[in-house]
Amino acid sequence: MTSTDYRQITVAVHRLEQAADEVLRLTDPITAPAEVERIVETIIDLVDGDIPGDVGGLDAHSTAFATMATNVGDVYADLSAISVSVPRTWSGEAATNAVAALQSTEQLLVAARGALYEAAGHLDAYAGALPGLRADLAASQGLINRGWHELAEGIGEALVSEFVALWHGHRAFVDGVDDIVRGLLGAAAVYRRWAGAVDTLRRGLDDVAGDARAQAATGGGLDAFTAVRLADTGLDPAGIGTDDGILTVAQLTRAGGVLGALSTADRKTMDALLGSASSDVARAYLLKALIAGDSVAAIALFAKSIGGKSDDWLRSHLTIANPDQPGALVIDGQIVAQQDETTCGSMSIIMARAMNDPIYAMTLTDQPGTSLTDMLRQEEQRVHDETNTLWPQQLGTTPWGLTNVLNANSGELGTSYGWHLVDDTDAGSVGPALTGAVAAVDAGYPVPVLIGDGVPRHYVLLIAHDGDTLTFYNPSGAIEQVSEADFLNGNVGALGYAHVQAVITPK
Amino acid sequence: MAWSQGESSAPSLFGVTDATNALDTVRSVWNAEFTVYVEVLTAWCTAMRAAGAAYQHADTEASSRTVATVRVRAE
Repeated sequence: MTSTDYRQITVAVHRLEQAADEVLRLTDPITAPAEVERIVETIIDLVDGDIPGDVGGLDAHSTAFATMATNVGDVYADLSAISVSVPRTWSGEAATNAVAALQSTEQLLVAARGALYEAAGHLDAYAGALPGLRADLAASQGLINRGWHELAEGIGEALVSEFVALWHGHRAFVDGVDDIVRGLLGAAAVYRRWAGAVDTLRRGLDDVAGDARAQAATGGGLDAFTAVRLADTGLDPAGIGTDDGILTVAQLTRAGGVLGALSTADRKTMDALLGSASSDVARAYLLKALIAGDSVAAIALFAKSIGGKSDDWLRSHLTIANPDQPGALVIDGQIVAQQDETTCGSMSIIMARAMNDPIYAMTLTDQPGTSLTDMLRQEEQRVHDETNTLWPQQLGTTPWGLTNVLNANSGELGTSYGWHLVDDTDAGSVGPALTGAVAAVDAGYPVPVLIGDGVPRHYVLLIAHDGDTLTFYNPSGAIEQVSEADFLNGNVGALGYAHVQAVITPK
Repeated sequence: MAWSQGESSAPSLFGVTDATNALDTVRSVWNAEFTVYVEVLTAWCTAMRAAGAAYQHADTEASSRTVATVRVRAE
């Protein structure tokens, strides 16, 4: 089989199931072989083909990634020994920056080693799945072949005598149809499993690609030293991966362009603010605000407000939802949750915005004289009025209402969104939905997900993805995790309701 | 083979365009990522070389001190 598009695999499943349905509807033993031949002819590329892929080549690639990971580990060990100082020819602030850049590079190498091992693992797993798929497809093809011969023999026997025609012919017809249908459905199941394996591989590779953070920043125009420091800021070596950085990959990509587009005066002010920030974390939040579209004047006020705050304070009050800390989400003793039962959609929008714009986040978490709970109540109501211009507020937020409000803030979020209904009883629907959602969150865009039972009930916000773990902010007031398998199998009850019904992903 | 060998994967590796593209993206972005690290480390190496050049001068001084020390001992 030549190289094919992923969509063709799902089409193949549909064609095989349709063919099985047609064979089941055959009633005349005499014309059955010709009919089966006609039906099989339409799907000959599938029943005669094989699952493509070069197992040896995939193994070699997997080994190469694992070798590179080991080499990166060696570089990390060497760098650990030298990154505490720089030569004396490098002095003053430049030396401090150089040491910081070396230490950031050292930390990024830890993430790089993990990512390369992860890539090796995904390739290895995919290569390991191919022989089983091929064997099962061959078995299904054998059944189809046997069934066709049974039908053909049935005709031959029917010609011997009327009795044989009634007895043997009928039995051959039943056996033949049974084998062919089992063969076609078996082949469809193999193609479905193959689609699942390709999906898993793509999600895994997207995750690995999303871990390369520094190149996103240099790609946007920042120099290498600034890039590694920004890319590393906020990463927790013991955390879930690289989805916990202060700046997302999407924001790192935009940083250089946004700085470059400032007027000379604004650039001078911004450079001064960045230069006088108390830590890399504070500096990253100033830049994050600029990328979100806040004015330099607003950022100057913001810089003043966060002056003297610890990195932990900044992290909890400006990003709010930390994917590294599953459990109740509490700030200053107050739970960060929806304030009434119809505002989960509003709260998902608020959190998506807060994760992108630290100044917006701070208006909620640090408002003198007003509690976080009161601020959330006011903001939720304001957002709910925006999302539900026609739809009754008691019925919650519609996917299109939520999408419209996200798109009204596309500058801040860095993208516009579209909504997609999902049927999680259909692998052809939920698989691509998960792949799209994961690709978005790996690139740094939070993804609202509508879940429910018989009907849509509740929104949650996908905020991180690492390996096969999906991390959500649940507007009930917690950071919660479910596996990709649970998402695919209609088993996300841990989030409140079992079934995924829609995703709102970047266009 | 090297993990980043070639600009793109052979189509026959997966036989599925989307998977081939996903692997190519991984190779491409990680090549770019390591290029950034190399740039940082190259700057560090340049500084080390500069320090090394300065040290040759210090070495000369040290050797002249050694001569002086020898003289002192000879006396």
